[in-house]
Amino acid sequence: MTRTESVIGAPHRPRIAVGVFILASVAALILSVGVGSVTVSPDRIITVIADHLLPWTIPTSATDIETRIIWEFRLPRALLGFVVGAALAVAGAVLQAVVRNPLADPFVFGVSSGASVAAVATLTLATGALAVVSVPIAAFAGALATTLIVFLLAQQRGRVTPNRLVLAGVAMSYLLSSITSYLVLRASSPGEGVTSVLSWLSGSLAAAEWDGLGLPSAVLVITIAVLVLLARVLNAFLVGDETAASLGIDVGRVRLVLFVITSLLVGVVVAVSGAIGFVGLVVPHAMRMIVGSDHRWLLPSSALAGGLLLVVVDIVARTVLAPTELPVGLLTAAIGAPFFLWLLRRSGRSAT
Amino acid sequence: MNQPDRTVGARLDVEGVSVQVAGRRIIDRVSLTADAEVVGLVGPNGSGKSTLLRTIYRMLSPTSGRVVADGDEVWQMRARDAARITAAVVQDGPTDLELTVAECVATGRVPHGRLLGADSRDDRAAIEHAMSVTNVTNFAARPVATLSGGERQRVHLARALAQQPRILVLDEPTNHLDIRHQLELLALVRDLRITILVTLHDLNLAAAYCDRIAVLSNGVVAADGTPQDVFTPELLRRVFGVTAATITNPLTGRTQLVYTDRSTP
Repeated sequence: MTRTESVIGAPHRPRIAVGVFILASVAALILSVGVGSVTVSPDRIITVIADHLLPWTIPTSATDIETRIIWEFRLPRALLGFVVGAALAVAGAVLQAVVRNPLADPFVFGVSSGASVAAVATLTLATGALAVVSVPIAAFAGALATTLIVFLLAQQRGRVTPNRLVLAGVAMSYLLSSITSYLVLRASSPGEGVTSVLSWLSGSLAAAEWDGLGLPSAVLVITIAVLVLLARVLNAFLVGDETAASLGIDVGRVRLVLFVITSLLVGVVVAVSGAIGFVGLVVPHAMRMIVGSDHRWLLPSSALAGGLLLVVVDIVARTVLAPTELPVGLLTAAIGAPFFLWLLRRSGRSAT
Repeated sequence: MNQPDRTVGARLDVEGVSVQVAGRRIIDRVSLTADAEVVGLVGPNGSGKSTLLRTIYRMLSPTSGRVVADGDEVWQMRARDAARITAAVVQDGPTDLELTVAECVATGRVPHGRLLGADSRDDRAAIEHAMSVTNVTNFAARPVATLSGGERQRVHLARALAQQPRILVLDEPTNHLDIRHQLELLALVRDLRITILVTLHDLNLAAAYCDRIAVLSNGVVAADGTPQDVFTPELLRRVFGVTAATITNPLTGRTQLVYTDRSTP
């Protein structure tokens, strides 16, 4: 039995990877809170957090201004970065399995372009307070609506095949991007909200606050729990639709459910962060190289690594041109694209 | 290790099954039975073999007719319950599967899985048993993509066996295998002592390894019986359009075929 456990049981490598990612994530979150126009030391950060969570313990040594910076600005921002990165990476990992296509990510399926159209339409057409409140809601609705349209378009005689899903998603993405561009052009002459449109389109964590953190975090935790339970079903999708059906999986229905779950997840994070690309594409690939393709390990490690990545990239985005802040989505694309090409060349070499 | 009496074949009845796709009838009122034996399903390209198998492993629901596994109607059961009786080795497996052999075989436990937690002891026992029967234990940790065609096919067989089925359907399992691996795979399948329904293009392999042969032609059953009874020169000319003669294999004593494309030998 011991021999078998080493063969079919969980190998050590994924466990170590998950442990390392947890430690690195905590370190990155503390660093992210400490770094900026005012540098705060880790011990003060910890006492401020402890002071808010458990007020009766250690009194904080931080000044009031430090406390405000940490608690009201940097901590929610760092946590939002982690949640957004984790959500995008998990969504990418699931979509790549569900359509058996390594290029799949939330953005290929038009989820984010749907969110963008709705958000930009709201930013440019609505005015004042109405626009501010309704952008996340519009983005979320746009993401979900696009997903369902893509799924309907991909349907033929009651069946949805992976290839048709990808094609329908790509087509919708282009269509929606052109609508977004039109909306931006139309709005740009009077200068209304163009800056906020652009910052939304390139993805930003600058608007983070505690109020916007609850929903994405809750959706993320629930989604990951559900997906980990479905991990072996996701593995079966990799083996093929016919095999999955022979294993008692209702392939069409499960694919739709997984699609809706991921678009919900992407919808709630894109709604607060804007369109941050490449995390969902690149992180799952990197994780497959480290922990393998078994979704029982791939999903948790993708979540951790995605969160870690976005926290680190946000630190860079805030500091590299300080006091000017780069949109974090711009940096993920700048890092992600070359990294993806490197992965592509590397995997090509080992596979053939 | 406890292997329950799942290693005993269950009866499979296909009763008047028709499948219509986009107005075209692919198979028409097909009936056949397999009961703790190896039944070979042969027929020319497009005769409906794969379609018939799909109705058995619940990929494609029949337009009319019934598929009965172990006394229960397959399309009336929950999919998961059907998958505990019937497993399938199909043709669409991707060649670039990144899962390791053990992970791939473990997906065979999906219909037995509880929602929560890791593998049960039964899961582990079934996975280990399936891998040792098919002789893939040695490369359990390798990605399926790195295996040869013969090894990969054995992994898919192991995955199906991890399901602990009492009925196993295989769609062209010998495709792309060299002759030694074809013979080894079919010997392995024959010795499983569960009900087997297997489609084969090579009629000599079918004659050598199957207890009974069912011939599909244009979606209907053209013949059904022992290899000696079914593989007559008349049937081979009518269904496959070839001129054939039967001989006895001097090594095994079983009926084998020799063909020519000419109308007169």
